[in-house]
Amino acid sequence: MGGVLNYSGTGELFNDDSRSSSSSFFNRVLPLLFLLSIYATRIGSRLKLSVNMSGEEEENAAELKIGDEFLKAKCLMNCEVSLILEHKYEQLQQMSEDPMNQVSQVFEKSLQYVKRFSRYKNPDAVRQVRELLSRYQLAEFELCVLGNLCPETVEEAIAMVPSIKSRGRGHDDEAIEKMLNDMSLIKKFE
Amino acid sequence: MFFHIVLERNMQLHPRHFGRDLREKLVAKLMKDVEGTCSGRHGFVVAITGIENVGKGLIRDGTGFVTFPVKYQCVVFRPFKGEILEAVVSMVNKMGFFAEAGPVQIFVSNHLIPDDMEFQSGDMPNYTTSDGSVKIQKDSEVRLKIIGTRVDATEIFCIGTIKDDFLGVISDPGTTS
Repeated sequence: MGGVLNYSGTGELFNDDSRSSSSSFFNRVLPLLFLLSIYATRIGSRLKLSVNMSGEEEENAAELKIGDEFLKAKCLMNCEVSLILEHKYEQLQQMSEDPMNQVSQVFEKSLQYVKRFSRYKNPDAVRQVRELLSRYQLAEFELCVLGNLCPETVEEAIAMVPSIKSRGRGHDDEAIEKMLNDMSLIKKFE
Repeated sequence: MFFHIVLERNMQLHPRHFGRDLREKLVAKLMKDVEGTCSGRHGFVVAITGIENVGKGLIRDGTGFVTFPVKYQCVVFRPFKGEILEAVVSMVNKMGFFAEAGPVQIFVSNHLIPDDMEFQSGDMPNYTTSDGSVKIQKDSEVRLKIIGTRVDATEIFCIGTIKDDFLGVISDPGTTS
């Protein structure tokens, strides 16, 4: 912020000239500038605040505030990402002997992560889970959180996806329980 | 959370690549430029999965370079405040622990670890409950909630908590505080 910069600039001047005759001048001006800089910072932060309030709302995944762009985008469960990345990795493997050299660190870390945390390994099971969950009028994001974490009880599911209850879609506990049961069945039979 | 989204980028291509395999050159350059990058808005670009379309090229004045607008599909990883996810513990110290969820690092401060878990130093530093039933150490899998994100030019850094219902070490139902 301008005020802060201003202040530090004067601070240097003050140090340089502190022994000269003009030190009294700086002694008098410095507190003034200091006050000014505080004032400027305040205005600045208030401005920033107002921008924040009028523009993008603060994100909160629990209330499904993840920005329009991501709300409409297709969300991927870890198991789906695993299928995509492994496919891509195989393609790279065919082109060169040492594919690990070719891929970025982000790719490598993501692949390790999704391999470790994929609930469903079999592509058919992955498809079934998405089909099952998409019957419950869930947002993409909610669907994927459920698919990733596979909660076992209704309370757990609500704790993981609080928005499931709040949006008035008639999700009673029984419907959620049935959904969780069906999910564990898919897991059992894959 | 991982997303599959469509992004656009203006690609500059040197005239020496103009020819039959212009498109391949363009795509190869796009992958090299974009994969592995991170932006605050879209998160980490993990992999490009397809090209939607390549627009008409525009010759830049003064140079021979041509700019092509390219629309591409990609897998991105974007953490959100309030999101619950699973992560692998990568480092434990007395301030708390670091965990990794794919490309993103998450720090869980000791204030956000349940009060009944105590730090134990040693060559395998860890947080353990008083009865020793639950232990968080390197390579443990934890379920945590992101409560804050900091966006850098090339990195997203998160703060997480395990001090809530159904959070904590995975495969141990006793961890819920």
